[in-house]
Amino acid sequence: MGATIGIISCFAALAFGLFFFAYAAKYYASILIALATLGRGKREEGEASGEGEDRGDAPLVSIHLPFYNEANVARRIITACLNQDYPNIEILVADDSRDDTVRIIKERGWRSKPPIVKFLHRRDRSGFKGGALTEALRYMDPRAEFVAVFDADFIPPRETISRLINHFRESDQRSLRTDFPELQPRTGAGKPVAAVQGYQLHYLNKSENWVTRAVRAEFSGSYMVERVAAEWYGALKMVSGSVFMLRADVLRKLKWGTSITEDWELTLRLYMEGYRVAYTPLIQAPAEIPTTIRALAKQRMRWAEGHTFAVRRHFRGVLTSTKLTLAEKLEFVYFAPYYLQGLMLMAGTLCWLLAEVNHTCPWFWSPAFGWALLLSNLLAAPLMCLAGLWLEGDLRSDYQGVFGLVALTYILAPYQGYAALRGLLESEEGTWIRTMKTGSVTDRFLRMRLRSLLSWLSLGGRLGRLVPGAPRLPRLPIPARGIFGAVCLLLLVLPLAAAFAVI
Amino acid sequence: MAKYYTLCGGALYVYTTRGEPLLDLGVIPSGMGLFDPDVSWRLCPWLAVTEDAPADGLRLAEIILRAEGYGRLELEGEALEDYFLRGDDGFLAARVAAEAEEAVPIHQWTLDGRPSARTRPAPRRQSRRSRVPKPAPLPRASDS
Repeated sequence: MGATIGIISCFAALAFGLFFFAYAAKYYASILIALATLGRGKREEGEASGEGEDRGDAPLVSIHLPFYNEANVARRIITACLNQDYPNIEILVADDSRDDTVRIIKERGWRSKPPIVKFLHRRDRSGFKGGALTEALRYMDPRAEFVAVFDADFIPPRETISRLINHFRESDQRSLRTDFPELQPRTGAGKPVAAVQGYQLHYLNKSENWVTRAVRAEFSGSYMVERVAAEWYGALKMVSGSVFMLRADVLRKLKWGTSITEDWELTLRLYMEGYRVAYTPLIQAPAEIPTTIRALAKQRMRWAEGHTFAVRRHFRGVLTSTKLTLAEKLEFVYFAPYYLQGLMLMAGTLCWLLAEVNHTCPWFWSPAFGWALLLSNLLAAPLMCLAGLWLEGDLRSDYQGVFGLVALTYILAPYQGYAALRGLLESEEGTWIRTMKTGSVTDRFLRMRLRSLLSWLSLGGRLGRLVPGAPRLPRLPIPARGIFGAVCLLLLVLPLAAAFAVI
Repeated sequence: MAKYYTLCGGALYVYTTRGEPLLDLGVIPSGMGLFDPDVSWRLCPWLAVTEDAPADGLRLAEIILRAEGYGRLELEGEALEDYFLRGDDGFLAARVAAEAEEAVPIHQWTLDGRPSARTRPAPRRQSRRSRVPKPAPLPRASDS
């Protein structure tokens, strides 16, 4: 009996372990790409600045702010949008509130001077955030050419809109570039950019407790490493709910859905229509982090359920679409069971322990292979977050968050797994459970802390070596970069080497 | 005058020409079903609109708006919706000018105090959508 359990556990551990290793390998590859492409440079300073642009040729940007009981943060976000240095904006607050927010938006001060602020109050929450954004789309100025969206707990710095517009222009220029047409089908570089996603810098209350530190580290890994790499190899990238700008004509055509993850659902429809999403870590807006496990679990359960539901709904459409590149389809396949990976890691670890206890394993299995797979899988996400923090220059202050992240992964895994399975099986999506915002700020955000870091382009890193006269990316003579790279390679190769050793 | 309101199919539009500050919504008491949390309404620097307002609330709102110096103007909802979207008040100036032209100049009135047949303004047809009950008279002190 024990032997049977051992064998079954062993095969299950191997299956789960290999499943998770697919993610781990991608994390390691992403770290190597991010380390190679993000460097110190000088071109970012002038390139992304929108200063000096006069209203005459500045396209109208409509900023949409979906609100639901945001009394703690409403003033902060509206003021931040009013202070944008871009000369031609309107602000639309799509409000579903029932609390003191209503009184705040009625205040006369918002209407006393430009830019224009429009408030749209709804009597119900039909369609949740997507419904509110649909209302904003309906009542925005018809002359608007771009739509920017921020959640209420964000504080976009003054230059955010200018930088988003500039990134659109650069992306357009790259899309039109025909120097290397053979690269375009693979990277999707020739596809029109429908949206530019910036970095959701979860930072404002990062020192509040261990949960906020962990989430800070997690987002650093995702936005400084994973998405940077995805941009580099032309994968499908998500519009992530906040800190992004869309072409208004595309949005008018596709419209918002009413999914509980309306951003992911729109992303899939954008790609199926032949558009792509560009990402840049240069455009950052700091945001608040959920402070309790309970709040975080609720948020992640919504993400997991909505994400999986949308995957199920559009799976065939995405895979059979002729408008997505191979890299985009592979990323979609990789991303489809994303919220199950925590559960897989837990299950895999448990099965492996059972197999070890029973001392039974098939011929191809060795303890060294098991340990190598476990180690490689366990360290992938933490290492990615450490690399992200290091690239941001925050490793020393925020590294403790990585330990919290490991704990958080195990704590949240069952919740996310359950919600993902629900999204996979249910006929209708569940309801939107809001994430409470407190307005708490424990850490001041230094505007564009990456100014000294970057000469990063979505494809510039690669084309830089090919295009005559293009600036070459400087390499930093810092050992940390080499250390990160070496550890990555070691952990990536370790299970493979152990497997070959057995064979 | 550059401050107006329009009643149109159960919706109340309160608006000004651009540059003229719109009234503080705080002057309209909550609980009237006009700019409350459980009602759909919109607001921008030059126009506020509340939809499906109750008749009682509209009557009281008219009284308040008149007291605040707002005059009633008959306009199509579409024009006002476009005004909300674009903020172009050109149509409003044209309409106000047209209203002024329709009014009879003083020197054309006859000695018996009636306008001459030639200059008498034609009775304006009120659109079905903008037909709303007249506001109730203000309560007098003796009524209570």
